[in-house]
Amino acid sequence: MSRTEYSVSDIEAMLRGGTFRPSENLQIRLQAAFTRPAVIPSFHRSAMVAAIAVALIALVFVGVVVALSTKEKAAKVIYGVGAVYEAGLVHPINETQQIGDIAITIDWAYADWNQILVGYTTQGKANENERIEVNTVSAVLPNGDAVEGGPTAGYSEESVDSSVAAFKTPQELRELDTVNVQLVLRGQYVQYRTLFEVPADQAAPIETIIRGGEDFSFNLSIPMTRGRIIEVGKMVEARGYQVSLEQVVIAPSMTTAGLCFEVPDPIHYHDWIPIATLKTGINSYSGAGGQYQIGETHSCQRIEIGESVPLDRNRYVFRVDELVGFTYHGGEIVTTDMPPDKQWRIKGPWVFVLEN
Amino acid sequence: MYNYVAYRVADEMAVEEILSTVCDRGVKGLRQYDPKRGTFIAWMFGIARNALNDYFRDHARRTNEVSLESLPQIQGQGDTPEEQLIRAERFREVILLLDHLTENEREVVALRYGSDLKYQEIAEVMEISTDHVGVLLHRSLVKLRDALNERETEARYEPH
Repeated sequence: MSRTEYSVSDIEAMLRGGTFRPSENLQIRLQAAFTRPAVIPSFHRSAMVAAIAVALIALVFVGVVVALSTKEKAAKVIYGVGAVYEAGLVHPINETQQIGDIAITIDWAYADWNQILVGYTTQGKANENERIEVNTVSAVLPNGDAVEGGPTAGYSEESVDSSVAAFKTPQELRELDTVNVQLVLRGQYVQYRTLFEVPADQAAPIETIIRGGEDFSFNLSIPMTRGRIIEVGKMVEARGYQVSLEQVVIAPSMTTAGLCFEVPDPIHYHDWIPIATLKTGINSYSGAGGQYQIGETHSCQRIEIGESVPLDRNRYVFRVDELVGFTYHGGEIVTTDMPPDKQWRIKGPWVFVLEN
Repeated sequence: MYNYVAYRVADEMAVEEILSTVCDRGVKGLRQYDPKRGTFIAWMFGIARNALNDYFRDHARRTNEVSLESLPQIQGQGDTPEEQLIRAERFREVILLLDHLTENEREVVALRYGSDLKYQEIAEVMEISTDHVGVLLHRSLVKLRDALNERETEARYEPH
């Protein structure tokens, strides 16, 4: 490039040649604040809202992974998914189906003891102002469960859209060497039009016109990646409340823990989540629960840690940092940023040492 | 989203503050978002635009200030470290000239090159026609080109 006379194309190339990179601290801070304690409590109420919440975080950070294909970018938005993708643990599929002008490719699939992941790419020719979108991703698992998986992460470039769908692995499938999944993705044409501007804390009224709608079916055989189960079965009391840890399942894409606790006040606080940390060596990983059913006096929840925790350590420390209760009157999203009069935070900690 | 906000304010601390607000408002407003009625991207960018406006109003400053010291970290694309370094430097050169643009021009550049949105998506977010997006973008690139050429000329004639 000449240093004496720049052209418009040069300027465009210069802008495309770089990007701003969020600091690691910001990523950790926002993810800790919004994906875990804040949003997870609403997962069991609405899968759609949960999927959008995760997409929100993805939307903020897609710029971190710039020099990759869309499918790689989509995979690397979430730490745990990115870890198995980078480690080459995903099973390449590369199977494409085309119906009309919409083509959907299953790029890869992955299964471990905690989740089944499918990376897919949507491409096609849409009319002006239209987008091609996958509306739902559903699966039938080998045990007969019919489940729906939201997009865990996604990335779009021009007419190419790559996403990752996630499903929980049922316990009874863990011993399988291969998981056979019947997958159905519904692709459709969507046109959006913003009607008028509204205040920031309200949803903009947008008119949607949906055209078409085709089901794309795939039969996938996905090798099962084994994990590690640490049976614990211990109870710890702190601050006058008992918490018991049943087991911890460590798998490459995610770690989960089965936790039960007596609910401090199910009458005035309508949602309860434990916030936890798993430590091994110098590494620390955060997670939260979120399957509380209103009115329960004893709650058992699955704590999810969406990062890749080493499987081979001799010593782990699982610590429940807080039990947080929220008032919930319907309609609002519970978050740890809610005013103090709407939440009750009981700081433990309840500590469980897991050793070989 | 990070790049969109960074193009608009070019100040790392401000970007982090604004993004926290955007995520907070996004999470709290999720139940009001109806996917049948609009794209999530347009809805979120609407929240980001409002958060930026609130920030500028609260801090009594305009979008146009760009300072080398406060810029967020920059990453250049390329296969080799040298190539990445050169592209990062060229990117920084243009970013430092964003204060030559009007707010609308800077907005359209942020959405196109910061967030990689398509013309139709930019039109939806800014509530203007796609033709208008094209005109604004071209005008912005011409202004940046002229500013860069002018700066190069001045640098060439500065006494050593």
